[in-house]
Amino acid sequence: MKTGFRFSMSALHTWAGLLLSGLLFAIFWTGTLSVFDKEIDRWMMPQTRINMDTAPKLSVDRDIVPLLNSLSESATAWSIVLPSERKPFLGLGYDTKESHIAKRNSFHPVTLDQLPASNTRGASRFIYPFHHNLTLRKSNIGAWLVGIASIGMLCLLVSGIVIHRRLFTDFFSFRVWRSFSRGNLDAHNLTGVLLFPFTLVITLSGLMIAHLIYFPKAPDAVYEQMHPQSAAHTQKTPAKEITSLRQKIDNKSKTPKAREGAGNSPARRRFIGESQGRVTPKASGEFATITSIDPLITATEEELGRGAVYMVRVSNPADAEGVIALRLSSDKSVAQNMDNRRFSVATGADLDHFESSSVTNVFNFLAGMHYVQFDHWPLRWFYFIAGLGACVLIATGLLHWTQARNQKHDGTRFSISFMNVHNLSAVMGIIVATGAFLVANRLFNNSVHFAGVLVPDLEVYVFFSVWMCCVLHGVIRVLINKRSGYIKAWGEQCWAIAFIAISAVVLNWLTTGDHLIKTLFKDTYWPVATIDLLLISSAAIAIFAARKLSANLKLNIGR
Amino acid sequence: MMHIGLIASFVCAYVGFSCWAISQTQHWRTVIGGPFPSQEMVRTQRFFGMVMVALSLIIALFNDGFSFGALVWVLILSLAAILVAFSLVWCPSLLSYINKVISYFYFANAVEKTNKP
Repeated sequence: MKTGFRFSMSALHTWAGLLLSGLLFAIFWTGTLSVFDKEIDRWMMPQTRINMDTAPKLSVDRDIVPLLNSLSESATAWSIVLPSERKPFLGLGYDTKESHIAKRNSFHPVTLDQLPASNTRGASRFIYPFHHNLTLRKSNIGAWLVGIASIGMLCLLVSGIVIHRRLFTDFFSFRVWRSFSRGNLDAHNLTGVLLFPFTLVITLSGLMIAHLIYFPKAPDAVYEQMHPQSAAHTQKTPAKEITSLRQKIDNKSKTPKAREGAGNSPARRRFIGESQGRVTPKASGEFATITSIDPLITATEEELGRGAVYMVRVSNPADAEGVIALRLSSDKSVAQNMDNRRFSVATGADLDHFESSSVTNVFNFLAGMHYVQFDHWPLRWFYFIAGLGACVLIATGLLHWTQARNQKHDGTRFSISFMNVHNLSAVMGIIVATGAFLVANRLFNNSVHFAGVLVPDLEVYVFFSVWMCCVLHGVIRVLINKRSGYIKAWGEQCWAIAFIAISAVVLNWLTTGDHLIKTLFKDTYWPVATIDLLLISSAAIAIFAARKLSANLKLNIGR
Repeated sequence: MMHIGLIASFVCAYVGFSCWAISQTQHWRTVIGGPFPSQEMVRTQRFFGMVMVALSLIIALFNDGFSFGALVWVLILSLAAILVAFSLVWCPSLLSYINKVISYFYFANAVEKTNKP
């Protein structure tokens, strides 16, 4: 029996790959799509397809404050998310007398009319959550599974480098013409080695940003024992003010549950307050008229650059102790910007500047690098391509295991047949399901209900049902013919991807009138054009793959 | 302007990796053919490759600043290396042109001093 470090690493690579690759492919696939989550949202929510090029800048005082006053007279907090290139509508959040749970609505940035509700989860409320918690929210089971898979990915990456015998010799080797298995292994090695920095950093940062799920008691351990004066939470705030802010945070626990941070332990609230500067002051009960907000935004943007403020949060808008917090945008830096500026509601006086500490900024850099919320289009595309490369890495790894065994045993063993179906479901299944999710969105065309089921839920049911159908299709094909049934199933699912992708483009045209010629040349709207072009490219690649598989199948039968 | 800097950084990384690829026996055979160059020539090619990759970093940092530049450069390196691998399969003549240009300026007559692979 072989022994030694390299053999142990090889065993680890094989077993971690077999057990986790299916899950890892789903995580990386949805993560890659999440790079363009807002663009997919625009595609799936036609009422939010608004061109911001010609929209005039909104005035908070003239346009938004009267609107908020008319919507809710006695709100305890307002949140105003200003329109941006990727989110081209005004987002307003406010609570009402009847409920402390904040209402969130979208408004047209020019007419200020309320936009019709989007009856879909879109990418930002389905594909993105699937990426980090598999939509299994109960007891954070999904997040824990993703965490385990991420640790497995780190093991796979490092062990993969250790077992690669010709790391430098085969650095650029891609012998695609020699044989399928050679080309497949070279593609696996190529993406594994050349994308190593990306996959390593993206996996590690993914684990680190979910630290409060994996180590929920960590803030308690530090903050429960810490004396309030011992840790300065900002670089500019004096210790006296920190103490008063902490008291305000602690007082918050006595307010209704809907308030920010409710349900967290006092230690965790203190940790969030110190690291993110999220505090909600208590109302004094003394009436005050809200000061003008526009000059505050202008002054901040003069100092930090145009578009520096992305959100205005007003706590207690009609109270003398109310606070206007200007949250700063992360557009111009890789690091997630948690800084904010606070002003008095009554006088507009500068109360506090929250600036993340150096340590928090290291974390913010890692988080920003993972969340990709910055305004840098080439980098966003690089992330997307590298994400697809990571998907290729996982898929080719899975295929490498079955390919060698299929040739040796003709797929007659149960384990090999099982893995053939698993590979098909893990790789093709989720791609077909994603396409079906988009097609379902256009077929239901923003209806509220269909057959008594809410359409946002129905789209998700379609996604999972189609995925299950792909599994079933694989099982049937492999049961009919263990030797080459899986090749037939791969080919058929490639045709399914091509059909679904083209259908999605055509349905988008029929239901919204936004065809490619219009979104590219006549009335240019890049988010929709990009998604349509990506769908057409996927269809072309799928047709090419299906034809190759069909030729391969003929060769296999002729053998 | 931002895109020109990015493209320049990508091209430098691509040329740098092309030099490294050509300095390997199997890729030399694919791209150039004929006798493998001397060790001195190989070392010079790899040094030039390293200089080009370093130049790519400098351009990325100047173009995008430190935080964006570093991140852009890491991704450019990965993608440029993959593109070199693809070029070796589908368009090796592109690399031979790069080699010709580099040889013309830097390694004139160096190919004459050859070793067996």
